[in-house]
Amino acid sequence: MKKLLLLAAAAALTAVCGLLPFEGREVGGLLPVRALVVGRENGELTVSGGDGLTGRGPTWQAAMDNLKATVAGDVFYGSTCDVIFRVNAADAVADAMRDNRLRPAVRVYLTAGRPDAEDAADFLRAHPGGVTLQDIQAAALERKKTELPVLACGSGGRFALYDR
Amino acid sequence: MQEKQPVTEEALRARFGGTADFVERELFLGTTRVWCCFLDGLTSGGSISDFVLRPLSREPDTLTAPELAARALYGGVCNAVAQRTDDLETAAQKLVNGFCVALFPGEYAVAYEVKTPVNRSPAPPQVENTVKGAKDAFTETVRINTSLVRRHLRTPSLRFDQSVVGRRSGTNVTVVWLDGVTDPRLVERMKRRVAELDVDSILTPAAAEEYLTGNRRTAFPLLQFTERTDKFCRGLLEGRVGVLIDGLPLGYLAPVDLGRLMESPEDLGRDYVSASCLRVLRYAGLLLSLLLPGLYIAMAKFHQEMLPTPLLLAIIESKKSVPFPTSFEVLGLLLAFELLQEAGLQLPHSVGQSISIIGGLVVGTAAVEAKLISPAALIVVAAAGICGYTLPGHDFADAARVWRFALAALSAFAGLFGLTAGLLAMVIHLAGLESFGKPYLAPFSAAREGGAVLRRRLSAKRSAGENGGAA
Repeated sequence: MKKLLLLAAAAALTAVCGLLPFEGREVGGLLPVRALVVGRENGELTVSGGDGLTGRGPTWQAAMDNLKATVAGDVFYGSTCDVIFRVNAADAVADAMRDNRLRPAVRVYLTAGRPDAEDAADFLRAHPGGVTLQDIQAAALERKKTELPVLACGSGGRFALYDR
Repeated sequence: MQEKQPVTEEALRARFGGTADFVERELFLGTTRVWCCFLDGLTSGGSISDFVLRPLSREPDTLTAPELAARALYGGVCNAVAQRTDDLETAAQKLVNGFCVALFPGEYAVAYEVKTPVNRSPAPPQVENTVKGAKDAFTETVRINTSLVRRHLRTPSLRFDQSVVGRRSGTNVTVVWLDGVTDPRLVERMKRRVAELDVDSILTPAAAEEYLTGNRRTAFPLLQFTERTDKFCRGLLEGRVGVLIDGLPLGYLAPVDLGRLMESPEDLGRDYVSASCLRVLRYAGLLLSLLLPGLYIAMAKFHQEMLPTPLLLAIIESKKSVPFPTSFEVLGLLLAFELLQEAGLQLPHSVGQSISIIGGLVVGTAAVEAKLISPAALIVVAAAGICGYTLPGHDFADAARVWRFALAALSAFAGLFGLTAGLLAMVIHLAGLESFGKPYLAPFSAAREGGAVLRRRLSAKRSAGENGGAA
């Protein structure tokens, strides 16, 4: 019993000192991003996760860091299923591919409109595209070109997906 | 060795120290004065009058004291049990066991069994209820319990070995086994354990269990208790040794292992398919009861990526306004759950139910509405608690509750790593346990032969037994 108590006390002390190699984050403080819309405005890259989550910067990394810095909470990309690149930011696909925050199974789309991330996420949940970040990476390694599905934005929040 | 003190009126009076239930009676039979005593309440006044005093008073007045004593012991008194008693301690023991002691001056004392017939009759089991199966449960009187066992097992091979344990309580402890079925080494081991007990009393189940098992440092039971006579007898038929303790309305069986603790008496009241399905469900209940709170903490605090997005979003939504961290919330709810259970146990049955309703429904709902706890955490803790109730062994369920708390605490420290480490520690602990020389996880070491989790068909079990296979 004495050994167990000593072990528990040691574990508690280690945890209090922050020396445990496990870092938790409260689920209630997470700001989940379901879909990310990437565009370019005034020469800056913008990333928008909906629900007021917006970041901007000259590079992909800077925009993502800005998004994290400007919100109260933990931006959570584990729930991100779709990344929509506007035509003027299509060159950022390569940056997204290298970003470890996004899962390889995240689906990628191209759009000419200005979709709202939340609305687009709802639509794409029912009509998912067929190209993921890992597909793009695999194609890049084989020096092949990937045709991204196109998300068309109509009036009144209506969408259409063109996937070849 | 201490010399035996002769039995006399004064010595017996002094031994009982003027206690109110010590009753004396003088008889003058011719020229002989016979002194009788008994303990009121333990004995039957009618039996004393009819089977001790009346036959004695009908003896001829011409008999001398030695003749009268001899007739009282060998024929004049029609009593099923009449024992000659020469020393004080034996006489005192007889008195506390419901005997009437008649003292013949200058000769010896004779103890007649005149126990009161007032006992609790065997009633249906209160804890181990079944739809089918026998409805007689053990009572507090060991002799009634041995008779119940005899009625189930009408074989001369059934053996009872009775001894008195407890310097102050003088409790009758009976070791039960089936000659030719139970391993004699197991019987000897149990008898030795009982004989070696040098304690003041053995009045409570915990005392019996800890003393008989050697007080191992574990929450898991190393003796199986049952209030069902049929389950006790089945245990004897399986080659286990039983223990009946006077004053405890239950029987103990040894050895025990995890597989036996997961068996319900109802398993043998159903067909083997239904019983097997229910056993699988019970094992699932055990795992969920142990792991669910820990898994929830680990997922909600450390590994959110492992949750499906809709579920994660639902949890985030439910947690948004809750001021407490997930680990504190779940551990607090587990503690509240235990408190509610404890409160329900300490109160009378009807009030206990009200406490459960008020605590579970009213306070739980109010706490969720006040956003003090999240519905997800409440559901997880309640589900784990309900899964714990599927375990048939009460002691085993208690052990699972302790480990559930420990596993949840480890998850709060280190997520799935802590949970896995805790689970491994528990399995190692279980693998190291032995009940009367039998490993605790024994049924799972031969799981390939079947019967470890699923209930085998009784006909298959019988043929396996006939072929010498493991059943």
